[in-house]
Amino acid sequence: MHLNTKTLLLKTKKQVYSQRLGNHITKFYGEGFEFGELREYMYGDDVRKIDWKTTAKMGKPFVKIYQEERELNVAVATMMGGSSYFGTTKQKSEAMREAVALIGMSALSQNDRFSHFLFADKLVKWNKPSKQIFSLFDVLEEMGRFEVLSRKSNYQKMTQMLWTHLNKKALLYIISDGIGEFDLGKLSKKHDVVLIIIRDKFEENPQELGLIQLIDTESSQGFFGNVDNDATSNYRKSLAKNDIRLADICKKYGIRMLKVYTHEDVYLKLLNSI
Amino acid sequence: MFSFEYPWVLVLIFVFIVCDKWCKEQSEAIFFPHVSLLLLKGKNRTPTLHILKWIGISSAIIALASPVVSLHQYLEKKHDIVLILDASDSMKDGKLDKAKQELDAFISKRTSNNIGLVTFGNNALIASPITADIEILRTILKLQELGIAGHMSAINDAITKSYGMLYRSKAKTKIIILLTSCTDNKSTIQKDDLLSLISKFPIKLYTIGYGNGYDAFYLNELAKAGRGRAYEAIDASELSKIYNEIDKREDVSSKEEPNYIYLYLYPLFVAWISLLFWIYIRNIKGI
Repeated sequence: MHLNTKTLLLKTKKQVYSQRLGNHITKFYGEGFEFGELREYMYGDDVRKIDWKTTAKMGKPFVKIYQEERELNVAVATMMGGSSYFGTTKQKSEAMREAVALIGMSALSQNDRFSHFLFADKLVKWNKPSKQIFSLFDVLEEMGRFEVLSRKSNYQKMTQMLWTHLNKKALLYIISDGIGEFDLGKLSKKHDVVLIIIRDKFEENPQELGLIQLIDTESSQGFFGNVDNDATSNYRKSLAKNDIRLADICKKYGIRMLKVYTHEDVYLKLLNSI
Repeated sequence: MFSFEYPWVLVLIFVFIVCDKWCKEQSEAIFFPHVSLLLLKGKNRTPTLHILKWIGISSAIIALASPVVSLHQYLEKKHDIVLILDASDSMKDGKLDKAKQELDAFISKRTSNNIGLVTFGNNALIASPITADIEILRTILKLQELGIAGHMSAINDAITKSYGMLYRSKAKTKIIILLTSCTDNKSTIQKDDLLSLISKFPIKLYTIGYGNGYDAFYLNELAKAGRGRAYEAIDASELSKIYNEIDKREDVSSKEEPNYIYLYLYPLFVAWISLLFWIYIRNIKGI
């Protein structure tokens, strides 16, 4: 866990701020410390905002306009289906938990509101927006406790629930392994979506295993099969197809995508990319 | 005819089918994500192994059920019987028909024996060699008519011929049942020779005197030499009693094993080979 490391700076290009004042400079004009522009005094403007220096120079009353600083809505949706019960160096679910912890800590340290959705076959837990560190601990504890095996990742349910539960615009991090059919178009119109894909390198590039009994982590079904060159190359092909489709979706809707492998340092990876 | 010795064993195949579905082998397995979605998608799950396994199982079960062929030909059964039927003139007035009826009843009872039939008149004829096919024998018996072999009677020849038939048989018990209603008057074999022949071979000889024209003393002598018994019958009802008694005396039919040709070796071989290949292929592929 990198709770002691420097927190990330969560950034967004879209205007996904709440109504409350905070630390993030928005393009709205209003109360704040960041200077926006100077303009002529108009009737109704606050007289306290008149800048005396400019007024003296120009001979007309000028007001200084500041850019409003608001707080960010940070939401994290984690798809912790059965497929996250895998990993050669570290479980995928563990990497997901680290990512949530990093993002959550960063949000809280920036005094932003942080909410979390834990999904698997259904919405497992929803932590409402909060600035309390307790809320984050609750989330992490729940994720650590959660039994992921034999839970089928339900992406349709996830997008639908996010659409209905996340009313305010938010900086939405979706953490999953990105295998499956899911449409982020509708969500990306409302929220600033960042897709964080957690993968294992063996999962992306499996070796020949020979005749082996495999148990699917999502359906718990046993498969007895011959994992030979043919099977692995087919696997790679269909995975590549899936990834290309996902990349296309991200490109189309302006979604930032980031792939993190379990053998990599989640913190460094997020720091460089978010 | 092809059949199974223990056909109920074939039910075992259902146990295997049910087990294949419900209680799968608990071998070492690894968890892997998206197996069905990506890894083994649309891939035929090793059909060769599957086929080999099921061929092995089913042929092993078939071998266990013991397929056999029972043959309708001379088989080495434990009892060989030669029935000697008198067809000379002395059997006239319907005696022959009655005797045939009784013989027919006797033959029908002893389905697990090999039975031969000798008819005599002027000389002795082998009507049917020693056979297990009862139906054929009954048909042949029906064809026996009065005087089919002449009008005189050659009892000694008939007995000698029967001994000749049983001489090579490997059955445990060999029986001759002589039915006659007259005295010998045409034989080429002399009485002394016959008696020495009878006493030489381990063949039981039963004699039945039927009607009133026979030589009771002579028949008794023959039966004694042949370690059997001499019976006397005046009419058909007594004849049937006598045949029943002989039937009881020599009744081991229920203890006899049916005579089969065992074929279990072939399916066993197939099972062996296919399971061997199954293990071989499994070991090659299991890295």
